Amino acid sequence: MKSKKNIVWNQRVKTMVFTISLIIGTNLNAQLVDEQNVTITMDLQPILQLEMNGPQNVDFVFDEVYKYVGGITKYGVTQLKVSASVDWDLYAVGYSSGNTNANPLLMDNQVTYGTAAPTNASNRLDCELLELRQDKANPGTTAVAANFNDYSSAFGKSPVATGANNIYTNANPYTKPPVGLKYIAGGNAGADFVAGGTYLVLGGGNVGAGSNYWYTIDYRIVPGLPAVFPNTFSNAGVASAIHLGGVATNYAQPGVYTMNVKYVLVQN
Amino acid sequence: MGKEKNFYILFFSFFISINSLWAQCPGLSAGTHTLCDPALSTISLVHSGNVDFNFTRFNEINGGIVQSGSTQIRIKTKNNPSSTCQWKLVMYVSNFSGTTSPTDWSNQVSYGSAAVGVIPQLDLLEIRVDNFCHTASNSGIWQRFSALNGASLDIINSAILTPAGTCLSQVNGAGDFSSNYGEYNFTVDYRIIPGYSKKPGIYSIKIIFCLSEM
Repeated sequence: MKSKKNIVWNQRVKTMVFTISLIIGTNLNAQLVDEQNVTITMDLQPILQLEMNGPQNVDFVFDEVYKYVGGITKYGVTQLKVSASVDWDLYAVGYSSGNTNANPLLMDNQVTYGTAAPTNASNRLDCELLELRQDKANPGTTAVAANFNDYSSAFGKSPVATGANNIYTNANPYTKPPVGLKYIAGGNAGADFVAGGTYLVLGGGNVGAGSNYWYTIDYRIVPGLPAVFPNTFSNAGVASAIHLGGVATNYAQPGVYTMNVKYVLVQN
Repeated sequence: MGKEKNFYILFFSFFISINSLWAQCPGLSAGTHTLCDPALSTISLVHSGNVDFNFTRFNEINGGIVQSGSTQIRIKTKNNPSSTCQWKLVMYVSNFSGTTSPTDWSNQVSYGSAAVGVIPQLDLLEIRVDNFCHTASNSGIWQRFSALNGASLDIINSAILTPAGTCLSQVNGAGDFSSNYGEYNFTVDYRIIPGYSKKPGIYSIKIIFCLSEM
């Protein structure tokens, strides 16, 4: 008489023997399977290329009265060509080394002509007096009321008090213009940008100089008579407080002045 | 009764785990196959390991990078006694799963702002397989995987037996690269054209070349 426990144990043993036989049998007739692996690694580096054509120095020489009154405009001096693998913004910023009144927002006064300190003459010329014009509108920005999104406005007849073309200035040129200030392309907000691409390839029906990746820049300076630079206004149309020391009766001291215009291409 | 139940669960779990170790190659057809000798049939890669694409210049982003002949697949298959070996060769794409989306490359490192750009999908990689006799499916044509982890592309996969030495399409009988180099050696080219607005970073995927019996 077999006990219930023995019966259960016999069932276990039979099951194990059957399964092990199955494993061994499968191994003896193993199906052909073999594999090899290749790992593909892709290093996508962010690429931002800004190519600038044109002279490194743009000189404005005011040696005739008509040049003071009408100013000097230089057309098509700088071509900016962008190629980017990422979304991008492009802006211009004006600043100096700060040798005038230790203020990098004033043009550097390299040489002064005539008497060193004539009455009412000031060497404090705001870098903002420089006007720029780009050949096409900013394609990647949202409008801000009462301000200008870019430099695409035509140079107006002087005096121009709107600040439509005056360059953005900042002592730290790598600080992006805040919302409401001018970009050549893109903007400060995350949603304002130009998508990655290049002027070399047809995109949006345009290529080369007609594309959103190529900008031609004009420059203008209007000293006026007396030389007070009557177009020096902020982007919101506010007169500069540092220009000519903020004194309405002052005029520009004759001399040589320089400033730096930096074009910055930055990932959005 | 409870102990007996646990015993069977434990035992069959062990059995299943052993079996799963054999199924390394995805897409294996069901049933027992004994046509090919598994001990003497192999797939080997020449120039195996990593294939690195480094996009550091704009012309590479725009025009892409081609790595020609980066991998060579060499097949050796042998009949089991009294059987006729018939095999298939399939490649699979893997993004290592984990936290990666099933459609995307595995992102190892991100450059720059975290939120910028689009993570590349698995169909970005192009693969071209060819050999002297052009035996592969879509021989010499750039192909893409579907953008899904585990997607496959056939290299050799035919229900009809085509023996070695014929130099016809889909040769899948017993043979090896040393005797029939033009049929059993495959050259693999890789191409990636990233284009614009991809999220900068380092990405990786794995290609599995799987030799199995029909």
